[in-house]
Amino acid sequence: MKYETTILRDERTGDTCTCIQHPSGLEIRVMEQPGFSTAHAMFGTKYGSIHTRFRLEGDADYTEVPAGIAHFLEHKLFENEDCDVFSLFNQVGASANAYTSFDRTVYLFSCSKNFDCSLEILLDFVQKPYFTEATVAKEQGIIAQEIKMYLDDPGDRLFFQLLRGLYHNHPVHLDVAGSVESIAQITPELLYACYRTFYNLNNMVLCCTGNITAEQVLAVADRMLKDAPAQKLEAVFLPEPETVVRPYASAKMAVGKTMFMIGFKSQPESGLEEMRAALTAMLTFSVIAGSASPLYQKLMAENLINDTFNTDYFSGDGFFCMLAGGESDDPQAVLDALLAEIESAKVNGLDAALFDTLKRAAYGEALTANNAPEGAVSTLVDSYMTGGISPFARIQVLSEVTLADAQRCLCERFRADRVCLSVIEPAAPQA
Amino acid sequence: MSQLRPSVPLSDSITYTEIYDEKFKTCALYFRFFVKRTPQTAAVNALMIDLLTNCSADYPTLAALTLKKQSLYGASLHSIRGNTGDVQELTIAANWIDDRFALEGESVTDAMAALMLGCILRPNAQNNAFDAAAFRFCKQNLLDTIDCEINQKRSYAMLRAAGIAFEGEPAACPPYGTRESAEQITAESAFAAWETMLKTAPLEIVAVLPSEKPKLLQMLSDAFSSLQRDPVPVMFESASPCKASPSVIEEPMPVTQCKLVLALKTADAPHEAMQMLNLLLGGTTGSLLFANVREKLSLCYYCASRYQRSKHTLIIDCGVRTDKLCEAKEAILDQCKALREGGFTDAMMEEAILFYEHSLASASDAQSGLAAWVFQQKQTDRNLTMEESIALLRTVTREQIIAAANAMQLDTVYTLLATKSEDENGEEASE
Repeated sequence: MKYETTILRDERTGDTCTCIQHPSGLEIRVMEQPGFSTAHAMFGTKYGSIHTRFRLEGDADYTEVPAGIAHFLEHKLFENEDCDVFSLFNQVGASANAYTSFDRTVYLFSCSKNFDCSLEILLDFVQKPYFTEATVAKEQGIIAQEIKMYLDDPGDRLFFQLLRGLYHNHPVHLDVAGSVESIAQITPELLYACYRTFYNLNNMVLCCTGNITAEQVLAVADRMLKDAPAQKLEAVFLPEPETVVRPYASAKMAVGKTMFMIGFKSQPESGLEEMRAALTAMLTFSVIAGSASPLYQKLMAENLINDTFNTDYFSGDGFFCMLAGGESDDPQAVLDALLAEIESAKVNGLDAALFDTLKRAAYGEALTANNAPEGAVSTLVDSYMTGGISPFARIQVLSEVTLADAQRCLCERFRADRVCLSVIEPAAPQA
Repeated sequence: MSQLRPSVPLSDSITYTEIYDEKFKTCALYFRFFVKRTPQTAAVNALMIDLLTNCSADYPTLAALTLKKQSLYGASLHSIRGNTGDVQELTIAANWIDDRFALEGESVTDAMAALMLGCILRPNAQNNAFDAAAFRFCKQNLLDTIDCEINQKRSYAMLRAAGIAFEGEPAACPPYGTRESAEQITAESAFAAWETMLKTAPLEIVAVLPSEKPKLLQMLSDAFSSLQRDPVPVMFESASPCKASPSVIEEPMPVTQCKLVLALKTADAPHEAMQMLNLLLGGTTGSLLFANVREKLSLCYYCASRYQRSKHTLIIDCGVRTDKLCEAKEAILDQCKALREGGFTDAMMEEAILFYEHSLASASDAQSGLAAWVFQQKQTDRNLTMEESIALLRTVTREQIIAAANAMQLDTVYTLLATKSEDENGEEASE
């Protein structure tokens, strides 16, 4: 077979990644790590909880599907016509799993022997859907329990409450697993429709890391992959206003202390620009509110935060926000202090020395992202899902971020009129 | 391939073990102190070890220490508070990039070793009391941590079940102590706990390094050889006696999903037989609990077991809806009965061993996993290699597993009883 192959190399670490465009349409990314005992594989599709409205070229209308169907489909693929897929992996000593997030579904395994057999199982079952009324009904019971588990998870509730406060129309505000009501609408026919649309190999990636070779992966891929015709897929989101839905949202749950999460909504990006925007915004936020910042010391001294306080970013297709959260008796005071610090830095400038130190720290963290096969395989998938960029782009992008970029980012992505505060307060104790 | 060097005694009950493995890009260093777990000391020890990673005499504030770590390419330094049975484990851990990646050729390893030793041996304290500001922050963190144990319902239920199963034993003590004992802690009592730990606690130091760092051993040796020591040995294994009749406790909580935890005890079943039993019952996705309670009966999203070697206790837990509680409990006990009656195949045993083999291979691919292996061997006083451990598991016969299953007795049934309907979850408010 003829392949289009590109070898990417990280000059700082010596890590290499072989990127292959397989004739079947699938992109394959392999990082050989010969010193390790295990191998990891992830087979993923660009299909997650946000893809609730879509059509293929030639379709007259958009198909709208119930919330949670991508996650449901992930569960159901583990059931073959004749057996449970987990048992096949167990027989060869591989540990298998899968996950669905906002923009992707990924099937994975790790093993320390029988890699070829395990990869065959992975490629086989993901390409072989089998849904019936009975198996769909059976799964509804299991997933209903998973949904309820998340309903009781205050961190999860806090986050989705924030997303509902930030996003009017974008389906990122929908729970990944859907609701008990939405999954009750799922039928085998809908599952097949979603499968045919999103599980086309041209929309997918296979990433492998650890003690394997690219040749080994290709040999199995050649045997197992079924050629897929390229198809034009259109997933659409309703227009999303720049404003937030509401500046404040709260709920009560069985928690020990008030939890909060602050979100700053801003313009989404894609591909390398998404990575650049995220890294710049993270550096900026760390200068403002990281544990080495004066604001953190002030909030700590005033007993407004504890060691759970942290900052992060959240981005994907059509959404981008910066997050800060933790536990506090007075979340509003934390938000007020944060906004005041941001406004002050907009006028007086960010601390240049702190920015340089944090950039150095980010370099160290980026350097070790591929320290082991388990982390490396996620890096490969992330880079594919982020517009197919190089898995080693992070260090390069970081080196290019300047203080001026951070200052600009502060003005554009940390606006007081684009913020929502989500709060979970302790429910009254049980009588 | 990892090379485990023979342990080096640095002082009375202080041992240093090095593992070299060139596949890693980072260095990892762990200091683990072992102290008796008691209701009187659990909280103060938990606070004290956290304080040691917040600041030191060299870096007297959290900001100064954070800045130093950031300048060392984002090195991580944190405390880990854990327990093994009746023993409290107080760990200070760090991870940093290998010297070969430093941009200016400096030794990050020397700097991090010095920083860690400063934190452990020269805390920010005056007049036999920790620094007031750092103490206040860490005390609030501890109180919040204790209050928020309720947040994660699964782990909270496990904690409550352990408190009931091990009532009257040190292992019943909550991991961070009680709120009442935490409230009593002063900067002086925390300082005294630090002095006691340095004097009496057995200490295991483990380094996982990509290459030899002879200076590290010298630094550790210089730091610890002159300590005045009067070590108090700890007992890692102490079988928990089974109650004459099981404790059955239900606690209501405003959540949507019940958590059911069962504790079963055995006085003298061999550990390897119990280990195999656990893998067959609920330790893998091929186990009886997963295959039947989750997949066949669709009762739960998770239903799993784990074996606590230190207490000779098997813990089973699941999340289930209220009206299916009895059915789930019966289904779980049915699987235990199946084991007693030999309802498992040789193929299932082989799969269990393959799973164990892979879990050890995975551990050997992570610095934390390699260190955990060394700590575990020290605790069991066996010093087995991973290969020897697998070989030992292979010697377990089906008769031994059946005998172990028959030796297990139900000790505790704990239920976190859900009192909330799903409709009650949407209580969002906005301003």
